[in-house]
Amino acid sequence: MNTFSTFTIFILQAAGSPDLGSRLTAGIIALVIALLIALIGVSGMKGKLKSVKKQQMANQYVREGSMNLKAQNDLFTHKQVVKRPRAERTENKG
Amino acid sequence: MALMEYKCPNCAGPLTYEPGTRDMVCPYCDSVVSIEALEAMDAVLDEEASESADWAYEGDQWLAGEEGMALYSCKSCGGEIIGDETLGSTSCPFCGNQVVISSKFSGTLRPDLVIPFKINREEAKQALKRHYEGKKLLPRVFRDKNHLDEIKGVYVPFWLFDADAGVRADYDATKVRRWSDSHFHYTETSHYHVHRSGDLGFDQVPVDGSQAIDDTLMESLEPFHLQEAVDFQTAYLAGYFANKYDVDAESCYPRADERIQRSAIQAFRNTVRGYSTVNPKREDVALTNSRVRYALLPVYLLSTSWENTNYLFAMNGQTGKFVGDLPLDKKAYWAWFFKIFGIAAVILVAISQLLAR
Repeated sequence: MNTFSTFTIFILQAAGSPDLGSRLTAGIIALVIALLIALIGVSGMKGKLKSVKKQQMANQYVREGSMNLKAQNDLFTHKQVVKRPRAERTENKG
Repeated sequence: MALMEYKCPNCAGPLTYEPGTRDMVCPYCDSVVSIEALEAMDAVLDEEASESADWAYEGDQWLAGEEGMALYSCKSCGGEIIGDETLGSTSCPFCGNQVVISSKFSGTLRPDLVIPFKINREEAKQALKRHYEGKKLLPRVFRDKNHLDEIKGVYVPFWLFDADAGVRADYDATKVRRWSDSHFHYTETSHYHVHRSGDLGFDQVPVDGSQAIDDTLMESLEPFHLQEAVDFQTAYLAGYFANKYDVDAESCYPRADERIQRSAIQAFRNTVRGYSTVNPKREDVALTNSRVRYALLPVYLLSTSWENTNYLFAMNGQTGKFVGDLPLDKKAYWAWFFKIFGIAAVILVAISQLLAR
């Protein structure tokens, strides 16, 4: 209800102002962000209910000090340079 | 079929392994008997059991569809216990006598290692309560009126795989440098061919060797600290359920291989540093010096039912790690969704209007 009343007040106030378009756009973006925050929030809570997961790795069973890097070659092959013109500054006149 | 019973030398009550110790206790007279002392008695108990005609495996009497069942009769009270053929340790439902069917753990079936229970049943129950805490979307009724149907301490058969992973990997990598002058923006991309090869050792990667127990549930309980494992002694099984493996090592090997390969590939990819992008061209892993051992690992299984659905939880009997999926309260889900949305919307709309002025 809070959201709805705030949004209604905002619409009524915005209707009387000359920058209605930009304020409406800003308001809609704010509501979309709020929706995403709510979705992320409840997804996190839902995720806490699930604790049974398949293990993908065996990292905790690596024998200590067993990593033996026998060959390590980093060979430069070629390079390429791409250039793009800088955007020219446009001066506002008038 | 050889069965081992651990009876109190003082009152003949059934001895049970005491978690976190090397002792067995009698629940009737509180006598404490060391496992070392019982080891010496094992041979005698073996002889007694083999002389007994009461303990018999009568699997061939089962009808079609009942294969895999076995009938055991208790030496203490004569009661008959029906169990799975893989059953290795149980208690008599009539007299509470703890029995270990030692033939399930002898010869080639004898486990190399066992991790004894360190956590007791009461701690497992407390862990279940803690498991419910902080879960806002767990139905309140489930949390408040939930009763445990069963709690079982089980030694689950696991295969432990050791192996050396030989890795050969090639990557295409790039370094990107950007700069500008008065007319242009420049992007320089340097390309590299990166090669790595070497070895990485893995010890005791566990794979569940029991068909009846969910593999994903068991993997969720990891890690088990296998450096605390001890040589197998049947005395550790007294008071707990134990099954022998019914999935052989060969069938479990692909699962260990899959996990070892992923970890080995990741470890070698982590050595390719300082680049903007790294794309693998080839990542080959060959396992050598592989070795497999058979171990029994301690797990508490807790089950509860709610709205006609059975929920199974498991707890690592060594570390206390607790896992088990919980039901979702859909009403609470939407209530929280609108609550968060409402608060966020009010704040963000207000900020947006201040900025849009």
